[in-house]
Amino acid sequence: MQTFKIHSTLARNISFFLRRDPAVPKALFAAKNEKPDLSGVNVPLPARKKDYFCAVDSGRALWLGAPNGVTRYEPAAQRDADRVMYFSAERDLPDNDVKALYCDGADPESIWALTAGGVTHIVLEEISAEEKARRLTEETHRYVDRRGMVTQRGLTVPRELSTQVPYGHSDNSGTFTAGFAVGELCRYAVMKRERGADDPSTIEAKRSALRATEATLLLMYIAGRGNGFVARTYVTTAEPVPDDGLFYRKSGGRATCLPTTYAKERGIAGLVTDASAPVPDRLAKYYRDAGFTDDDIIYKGDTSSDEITHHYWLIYFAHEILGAEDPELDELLQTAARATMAHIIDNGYCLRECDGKPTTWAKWNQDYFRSMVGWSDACLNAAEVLMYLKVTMHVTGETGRWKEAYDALVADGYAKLTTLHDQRFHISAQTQRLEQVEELMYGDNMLATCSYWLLIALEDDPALKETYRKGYQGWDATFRREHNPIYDFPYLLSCPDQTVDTERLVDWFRRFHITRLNAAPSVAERYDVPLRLRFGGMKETSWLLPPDEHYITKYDRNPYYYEGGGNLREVESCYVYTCAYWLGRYYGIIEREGE
Amino acid sequence: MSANAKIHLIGSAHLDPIWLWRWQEGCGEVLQTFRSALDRLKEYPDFVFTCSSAAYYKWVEEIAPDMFGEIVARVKEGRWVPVNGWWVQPDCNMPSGESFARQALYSQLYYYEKFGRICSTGYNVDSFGHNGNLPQLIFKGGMNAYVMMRPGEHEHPGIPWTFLWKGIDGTKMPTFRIKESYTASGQKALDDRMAEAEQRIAEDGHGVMLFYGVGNHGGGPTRWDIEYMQQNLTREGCHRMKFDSPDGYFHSLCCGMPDLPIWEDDLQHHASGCYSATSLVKQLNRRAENALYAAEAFSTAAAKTAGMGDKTATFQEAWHEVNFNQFHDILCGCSIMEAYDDVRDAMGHALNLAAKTQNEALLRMARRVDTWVEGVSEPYAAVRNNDCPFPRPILVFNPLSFPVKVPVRSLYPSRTVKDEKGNDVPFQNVRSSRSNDSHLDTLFLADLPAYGYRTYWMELRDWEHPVQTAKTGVKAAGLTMENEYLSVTFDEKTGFITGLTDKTAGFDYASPAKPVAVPTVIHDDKTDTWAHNVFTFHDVLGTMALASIELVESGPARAVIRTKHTFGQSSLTQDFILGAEQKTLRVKCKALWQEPFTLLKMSFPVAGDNAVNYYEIPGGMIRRPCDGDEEPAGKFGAISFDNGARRTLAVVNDSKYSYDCPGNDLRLTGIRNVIFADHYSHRPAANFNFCDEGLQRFEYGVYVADGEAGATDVAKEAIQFNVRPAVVSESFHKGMEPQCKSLIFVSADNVVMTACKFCEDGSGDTLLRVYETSGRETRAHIVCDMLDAAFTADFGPFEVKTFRINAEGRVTETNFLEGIVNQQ
Repeated sequence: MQTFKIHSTLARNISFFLRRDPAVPKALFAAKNEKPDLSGVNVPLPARKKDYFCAVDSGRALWLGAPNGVTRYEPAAQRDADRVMYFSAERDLPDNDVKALYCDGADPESIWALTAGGVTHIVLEEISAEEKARRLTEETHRYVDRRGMVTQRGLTVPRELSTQVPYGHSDNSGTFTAGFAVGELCRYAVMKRERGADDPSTIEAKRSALRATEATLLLMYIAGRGNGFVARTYVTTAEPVPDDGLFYRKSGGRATCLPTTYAKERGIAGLVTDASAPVPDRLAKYYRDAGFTDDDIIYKGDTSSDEITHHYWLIYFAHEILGAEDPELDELLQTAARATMAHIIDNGYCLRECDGKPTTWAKWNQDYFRSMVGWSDACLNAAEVLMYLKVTMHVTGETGRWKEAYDALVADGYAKLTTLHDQRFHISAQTQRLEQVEELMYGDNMLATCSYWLLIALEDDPALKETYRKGYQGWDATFRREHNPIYDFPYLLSCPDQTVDTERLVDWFRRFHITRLNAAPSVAERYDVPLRLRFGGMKETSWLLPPDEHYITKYDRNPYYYEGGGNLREVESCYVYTCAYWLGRYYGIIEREGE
Repeated sequence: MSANAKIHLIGSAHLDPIWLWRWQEGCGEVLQTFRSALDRLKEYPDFVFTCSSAAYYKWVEEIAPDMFGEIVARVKEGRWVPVNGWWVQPDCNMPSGESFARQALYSQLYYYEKFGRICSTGYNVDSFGHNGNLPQLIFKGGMNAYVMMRPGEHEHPGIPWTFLWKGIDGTKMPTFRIKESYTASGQKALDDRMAEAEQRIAEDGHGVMLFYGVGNHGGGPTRWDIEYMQQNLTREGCHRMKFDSPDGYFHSLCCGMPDLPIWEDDLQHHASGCYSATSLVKQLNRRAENALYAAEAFSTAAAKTAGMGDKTATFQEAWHEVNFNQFHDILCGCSIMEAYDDVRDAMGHALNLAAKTQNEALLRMARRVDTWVEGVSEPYAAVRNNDCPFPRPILVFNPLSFPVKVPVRSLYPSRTVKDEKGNDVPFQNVRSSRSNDSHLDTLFLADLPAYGYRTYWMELRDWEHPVQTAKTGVKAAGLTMENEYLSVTFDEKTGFITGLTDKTAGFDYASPAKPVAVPTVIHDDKTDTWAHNVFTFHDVLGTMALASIELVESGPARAVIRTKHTFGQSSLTQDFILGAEQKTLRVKCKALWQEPFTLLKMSFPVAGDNAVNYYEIPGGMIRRPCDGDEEPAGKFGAISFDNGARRTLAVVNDSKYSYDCPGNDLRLTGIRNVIFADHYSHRPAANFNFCDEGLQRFEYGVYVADGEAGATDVAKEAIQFNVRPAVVSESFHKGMEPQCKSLIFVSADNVVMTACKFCEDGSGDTLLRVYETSGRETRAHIVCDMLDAAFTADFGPFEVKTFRINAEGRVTETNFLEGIVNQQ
């Protein structure tokens, strides 16, 4: 299997100042702009050569100013991806109207940019990949964490992380927190392996891993319906309830469906359902410690297969890494796995809402697979439900009904279905006169990763294992578009005869942005990024920009976005980086630095 | 019975514009067929007619505009459905990737202009094989489904009937394979087709198409055919039938959500002899493709930098000729002999247009280069003659997007050759093709920037002055010659190569026991022009006997060994040319061929294990087993094998399209001399004409390297072998441009430009088309100082990308249709 080292990564430390701020060097305002001679430059630059009107030399690179932002050009850069870097509004500059540049000579590279809207101080720092993970995790813990759940948080003042609002509902709290938790579990395992259980870094990693794991697991218990129903997320009575989906207010062992627009459309506003099943104290502490009781909980229903998939993915890792040393937690994991699995089987392979109807997106049965919408989803969903059964068997050590259900699904063609994703998606796109990539659901990549990876890992039957590998390889082209380690690492682990571009993976870690403030760069203003018009009209970039120069993405967004803004009033979870990094370290794909 | 499956009735008329008749007859056939179809559409309100080939519509538009107006109305009504947005139904193996782009460009824009829509279904029902890059080439021409027929079930039973075809780049395309025929007329044929359709539905579980109508020489559905199908639209116990088009069929198929099998290979073989029969048309096709590329690239540069006008219309005119003559029965060499007189004229027209525009472009650019020399008070009248007392400026232009270093020839001999910086350049004086004055030309090693030019200075002085040339690694003695990369030894008794050493790797590809470059004559009188039902040519009559061998040139720029072989009444003269710093041994061949029913193959057996072949296909390459089947190929065929390390031997060519490899013996098919348009006839006594009889000139080259073919430079070497620099003798003048300049630079070795042109919409935007040659994911930086644009792009394996650059330097990635049409 391929392995690689990441010797260092870049951190763009960006600070914004008003012109009158005394911290701004006066030399910036006195800088003389001279048009640089770029005739010998044989690489594309974000602006046209003739547009650059000022330049400063840091000794390592030439920093160039143009009407569309700042360019850093390092002809001798060791990595091709680092030769040209682009700094633009709103992520790195307040605006792109550069007036002057000044290099203060500090180490690391320290550049001041005067633009129409203010002054920006850029410090380009080389740090280790692990240090980047540490800083990102710290940011997430400080500004994103909401009673252990990590998704994203709104800001009352743009760019000011410390002004985060005290609430932060997300449709996919379970999904995103599970991803963070898996990364933190791997971090804990790596720290323990490399530094010992008593090392402070190991203890801190375990604390973080447990917090995220328990917060996610709480969602499998919090509805209290006693039938394995899983909540998408929850808020407390101290938080606003968004008009977005189905919300249930718990009170006195029952829960009432709130009158949201969708609840009314579905005709269940005011419907009362059971909420009497107790929430384990170990998990309830996340809201009880904050001063809330069970009756202060408003949980979100209409849960999707995305959530369930990530829950089972996390259950597997939590069991593997913590199960033996924390039997209480393991019991909670097993109970949750059994309950939700039973719910799915008992309800004809769907998650059923309290009105007796399936939730919108949690369906794994043949009726759904035969529908217009479900036909192209069927291959992924088949892999998902097979994975749930495998994980349930694995963590509980039981076979019985789980094995019977698994065998029945295989006999019903589910295993074969897992191999048809690529062609079904193509046909589905074609009916709409779209290219297949225009039809992609980016969140599906992560779902496929969770499902196929664990299926292959847990399946003992060689023929079935090979079938799942074939199915996994049907995602190859989609994964290859992104050169993203979270897809490539499990793919390598599951299909060791396949190869991935490790240089691109190093670039990914190296160029991942040091903050998850959801600020977008000015992609459409670049001259070196062709606009790619897809068959159906979708606009994409013609090449995959480094993570610090494209929009902030989770695993559910298209990194080729050409247009579209960020949101300076939002900060996202770091798990996109940390989960990939710690998985790589855990499985030895990323070799430890210094070895 | 599959409840929702239907039989979609496709009324069509297969039209061969040239085959057993000349194009004038084909044109008449089109007019007559279109009239008939229009009449049937008027008579039967539910009837739908399907027809391909923009060239036919253009004929009708020009000759019968009223009838064309009726067609426009029927297209808008949706009952006349144009398919295959290409100029004709071409051969689908031999045209270059760029040719397929032009097939789509000119045709789809024509359809869009005339009908307000483009074709969405590719349709080559008679073409003899379909290369593995076709899904991408069809898709980027605005189409997303495909209909084909050959190879038939007896030729390749493994190909599914309806499938998702996955090309070498990963593009997928729903494809329908016609089972029996694209024509059917009369009760028996129609009954048979209906039964066949029912059987296919039973097997596949989804709807199928049924093609009906009189075809090949035109015709279309008759009244009887239409009425018979009307009577049978609903039959007890059978699936419903409906009059439809391929577009309608594919939409219905996809909406039915079928799990189509995936086919990840090309679609071969049907007519294995077609890729070598009638060398004339193959050579004209390759020459025209190469010439139009260079001429258009230079013209675009001259328009951007030297005031030349926009020649888009000229190139469209030339490409129409080339695209038309890529029709499968023409390019495959299986039409009547007289048809090739017409082909020669038409392709000559295209070549002449290319030559004229290129000449204007080069002279315009050359005149802007500063070639002034102090001491020359005025442009010297005799500068172009060989008695010029000053060094003469020679500009060498490279049309390729990568730098090349290659020997080039310039008029008149020299005593010194220097580059623009005054450095001595390796050269030697070589025999010219004229017999008066000096008899000599100068051959020098030109080191040229990517898509640009360099100025060289040639001085004769007096004959007594010693030659002053840079040294190279070229050496020759006896029957051995070598350069920096290769050492080549010939056997004095056979004239075959018995030593072919890659000096970098220290590996010898040949030996006395296993010589290479062996001209081998194959017996071929049991087949027809197509070689129907024959897929191998292994009946060896013998190898050609050596008549003479000599070292004819040895200098710093190159060494040449000439061999002459004979067989029966035929001869083959080969100049084996080893140039300085060249990785490819170039071989110029002149054959006088008079052996009926034969093939001439150049044989390159290698010693090693785990051998596989790689052949160039349009816009890419394909891997093949060394199983001896005759394979269509483009500019190169290669064999990769294990012998101490992974090795590759490739044979590149300038005008051939057929190879085989029985065992480990890679063989280029140079000549196939069979009867014109012989379709398994009884061959009555007649003075038959043979399609490769007489003088044949062609070139091939031998390239060796370590590694699998895709990891070597074989694709670039083959392109460089085909598209060569242009040499312009200049005079002394002042100018704004430097003596050496690159206009476009592409950073990746395996990303190559195939077009630099103006956008067809008259906007003045420039189009660059580039593709990945080696099957590797690649990031490329493309710097076009000429256009004040520079950008980056990611390429998948064999991906072709088209970039449109506007006057502000903004770049949009589009497809072959240049962003002009609305595809939705």
